[in-house]
Amino acid sequence: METTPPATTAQDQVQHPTPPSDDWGALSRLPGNPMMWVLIWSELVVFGVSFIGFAVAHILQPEVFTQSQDSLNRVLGGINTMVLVTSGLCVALAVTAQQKGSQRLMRRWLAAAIVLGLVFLWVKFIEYGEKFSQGIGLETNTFYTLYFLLTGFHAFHVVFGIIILIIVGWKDSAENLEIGASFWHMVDLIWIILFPLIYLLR
Amino acid sequence: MNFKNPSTRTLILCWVVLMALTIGTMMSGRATSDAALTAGLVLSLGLITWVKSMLILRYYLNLRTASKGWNKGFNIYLFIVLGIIMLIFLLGKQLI
Repeated sequence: METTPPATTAQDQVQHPTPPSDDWGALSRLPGNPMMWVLIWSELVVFGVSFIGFAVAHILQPEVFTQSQDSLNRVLGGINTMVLVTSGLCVALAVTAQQKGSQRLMRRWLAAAIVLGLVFLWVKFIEYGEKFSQGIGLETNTFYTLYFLLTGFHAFHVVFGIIILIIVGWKDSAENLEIGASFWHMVDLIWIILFPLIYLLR
Repeated sequence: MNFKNPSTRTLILCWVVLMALTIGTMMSGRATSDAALTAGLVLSLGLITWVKSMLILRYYLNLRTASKGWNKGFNIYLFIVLGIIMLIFLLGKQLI
């Protein structure tokens, strides 16, 4: 028996302006969850503007910035970059393992990425500890204010990323893992630019 | 669209290149010295950082499977941001 679909009223159209659909327009042409790419873009814009602001502050107070930057451990910063890049590889390999149906291997790669994330935070903890023990803090000068704010904001992303990786390792649907992996790679990408800007450029 | 993830071999190769470029970043930025950077080294740092960020996007984030428009969009955005930063530093060197 054929049933007639209920007619849509003008009120229905107002209440549901966006039809339920998987079509995200241009965002559908990106791999993974489209909302994750919206987050990646917004993070890149926020950090991008902050990075340009840091560069401007650097040339406005070159002596303060160069002297303060010289107190940072540049090699430790480089090692941390390698740690984060390697953790990114582990997460990418976790996604590959899951696609091959190996849940055990996927969890091992995720665990390796989490451990490396913790190593990154531990190195940051050592760096901050050194500075605080020398009496250097957020209000010492403009360089340190921006250094603590930018690296601290990034470190919060690392902490949040580790929590996400723990969750996606536990509730391991393909989509969850892909979203968690994308977030981790975004954190990696931001550090790739943050490291030369804060530690090396002078 | 085909969003096939990169193979294990491709990912490991990408990681090797990223590690080598990180060493290149440290060398260009004279990580073991407090000496000032020449304009050439500043540009080299910017270029290496741009290549590294593209590698992360293309292989780790699998952007290479996205449309050409998105690839260009990300590459151009990062080029502009890094370009502005390098330009500011080079300008600063002229002013000192």
